[in-house]
Amino acid sequence: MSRRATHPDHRLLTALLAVVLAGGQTFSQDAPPDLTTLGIEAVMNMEVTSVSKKPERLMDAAAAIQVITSEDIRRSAATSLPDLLRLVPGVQVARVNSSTWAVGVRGFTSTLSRSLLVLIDGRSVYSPLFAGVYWDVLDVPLNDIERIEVIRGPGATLWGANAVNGVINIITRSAQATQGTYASLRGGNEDRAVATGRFGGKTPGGLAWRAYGKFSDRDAEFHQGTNDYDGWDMGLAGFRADGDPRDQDHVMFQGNFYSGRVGQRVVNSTYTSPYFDVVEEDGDLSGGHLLGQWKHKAHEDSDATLQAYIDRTHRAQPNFREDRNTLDVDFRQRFNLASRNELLWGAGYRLTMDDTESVPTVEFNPARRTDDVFSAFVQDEIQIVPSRWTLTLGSKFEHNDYNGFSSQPNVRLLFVPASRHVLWSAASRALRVPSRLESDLSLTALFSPATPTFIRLTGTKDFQAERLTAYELGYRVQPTDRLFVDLALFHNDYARLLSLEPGALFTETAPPPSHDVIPYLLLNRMRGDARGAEIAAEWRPAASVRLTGSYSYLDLNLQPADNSLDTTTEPSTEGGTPRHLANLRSWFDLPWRLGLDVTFRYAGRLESTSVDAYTEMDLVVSRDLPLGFEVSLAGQNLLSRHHREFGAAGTAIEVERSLHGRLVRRW
Amino acid sequence: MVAGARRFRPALLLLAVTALLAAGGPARGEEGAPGSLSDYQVKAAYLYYFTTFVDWPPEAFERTGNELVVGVLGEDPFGEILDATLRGKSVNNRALVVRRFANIKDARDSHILFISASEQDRIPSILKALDGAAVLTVADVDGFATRGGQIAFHTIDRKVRFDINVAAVERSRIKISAQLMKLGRIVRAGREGV
Repeated sequence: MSRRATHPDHRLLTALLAVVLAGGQTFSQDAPPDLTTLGIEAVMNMEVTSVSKKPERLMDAAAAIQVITSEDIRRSAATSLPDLLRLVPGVQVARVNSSTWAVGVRGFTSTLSRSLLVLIDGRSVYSPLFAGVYWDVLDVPLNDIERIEVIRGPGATLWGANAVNGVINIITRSAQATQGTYASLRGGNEDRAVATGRFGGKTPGGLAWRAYGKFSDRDAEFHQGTNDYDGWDMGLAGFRADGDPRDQDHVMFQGNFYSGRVGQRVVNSTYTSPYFDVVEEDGDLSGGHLLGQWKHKAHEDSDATLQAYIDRTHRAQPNFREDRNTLDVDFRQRFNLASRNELLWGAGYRLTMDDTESVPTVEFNPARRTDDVFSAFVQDEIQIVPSRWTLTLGSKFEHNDYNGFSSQPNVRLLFVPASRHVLWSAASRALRVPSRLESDLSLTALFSPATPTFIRLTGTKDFQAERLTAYELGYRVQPTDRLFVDLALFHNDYARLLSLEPGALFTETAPPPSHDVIPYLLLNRMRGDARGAEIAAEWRPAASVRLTGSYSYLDLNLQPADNSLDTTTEPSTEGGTPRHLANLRSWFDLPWRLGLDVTFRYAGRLESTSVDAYTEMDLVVSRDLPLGFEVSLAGQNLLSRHHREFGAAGTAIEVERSLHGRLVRRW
Repeated sequence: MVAGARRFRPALLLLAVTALLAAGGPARGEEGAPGSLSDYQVKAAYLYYFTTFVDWPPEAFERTGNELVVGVLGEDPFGEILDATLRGKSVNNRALVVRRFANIKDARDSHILFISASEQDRIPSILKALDGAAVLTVADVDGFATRGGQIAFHTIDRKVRFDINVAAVERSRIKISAQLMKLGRIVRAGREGV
């Protein structure tokens, strides 16, 4: 390195120039932004204050995809995975209580989001018991997330069943990228204490590893007249190791263990007087997983990945307990079939075993069940005209114990009419396969204490998979280096959707005392269609300013089949997702190493529960300090003290304004 | 809605003020405020330094009129940063020029080729097309070096660093100086050096 490189005048000059650059000024010829006079070693040790969003494959994906980057996460006020998803167009996130969110993509918002598949590093976290995702056990360290890919629309061909309305793919950072020590402490009125620590190192053999831990203590949200029962405490510890034993091979191992308590309030119906019992108790949640992955690159255009994991969950709520063990093995391979023709295929096996126990009015029949799923997929990507027309054809084939054999095909066409313009369209079919809920559950609830009379929801063994046929059209354009616009249109056609079919009232003598039951069977007598549009734009007027905005429109119509007597599913589903969603986010890099991020979110009215439309604001101010410290202050839901996002007035918990501060150190 | 609108107004004002503040930049002469430094400013600087640490065979310049071509393949993440960084610079009496390419066929005459993340699905075929060419391949795609690329940028705790795949460099007809090897993390036969 030359002596000039460390000359302070040059450093000062460079710093000043960087400031000018960041201000978005066009620099003149006599003041070039000269990092090139500092010497490479100085550049190596410069801290980057803003990491640009990489083009990723975003521009030429033939799907409606949005990526949440680690930088987006770092600068967001969100302290949980669902809150991060609020940034994505077409995704509705409503907080139900401290530990529960209702998430929906293109409609069908519910606390379990049955038509949304969520994966963490290729491991499914979708519950086969109640069809959906328990967000309360996904309190992963957000700082170790590399990116979150959110695909709106079906992704069943690649990802498998239940990737109907969307896929959320959470990818954690490799152990090579998380060397050194990281510690973060957050405290506030809602996120009372969240502590995260991580240490990364390397074995003499070259295997990079990290070990991490996270503890969080969250306060209850706002209650009108009920106790603050919904506190949420979680503890999590885990590791990840990455290595390259040979030139062509990459291996990865990871595992974690979590344990926590979520405050819950359950109304258990009883067959004896007074026929119900309100229980406010902590749910006991624990689990863990071990995952291994081996990637082999045979040669430049061919690779193969073998992945296996075991996963264990324990969930004990006041009304039921579930213990589940899952084993999953997955293989996929990619190679060039011919020039301009890339084939991707894969096969997988999943074994899941559960053991349930519940109060008398909640019953799984059988109480224990073992299921396996065999799956395979093939997808061919053909460059019809290189860098202009690309056709992708593929299908998933799956065999499960509920429905037997099924296929989920798709066809996608990508057209690049000119540089910076991309048009894509897709037609796909996806299935939401039955869970234990639709097949095996019997849930009895008090209807009237007079006789007494109960309502009983009963799963049916011949419940079929819900089926979506989706037609999508998208356009992306980057008119200038500073502006990016992404438009997606869709028409979803649903068949065999879940319906609740009332049967004739009968009298039951066992268990005593004698009582009347109105049965409702879970059947597939509903169909529907959804039309919608999502537009998202990103504008960088200057290097230090980034603005993103999006607007989503949804028109969901359900229609009971002719033989259906269901009158509730249609209004509750249609009215459970807002017609309009919008957000606006801004990032500012200010002088004195300050960052300011402001987000506005708008969600339209929910007709089914009369949740009013609302606009909320989140704000984060962060500052980099010497010695690897970073401090930030954040506020969420700043425009109101509390507001309702989901659930009927009177009983629903409201989301409170949340203020929190955080101190981070990296070294 | 009136109350809502009233609550809205100070927030919007705040947004407008900060937008002005950020877009206007701080007053010049602010004592050494480092301001913001984007990763691509740093990466552009690296590309410049690479030209000083790499030797190309003389015939590699025959088709470029003695210019040293720094190419960007795919969607350009640098914007004008790269041009500004290399403008007016020369190394060994060869002027540095920036070229942007949409496909690999045109990009073969580059001396350094930055492969954009937009091309990450096509990396195997790109590298195959460059096999044996005197081109230093650089990308900031995860695992680029382990997948046969020569230099991969990665960001560790906000510092941009790079991996060098020695085997891939040896397969091409260029030479990287020992000094640069020392600064990068060596990815060799799958094992990382110190």
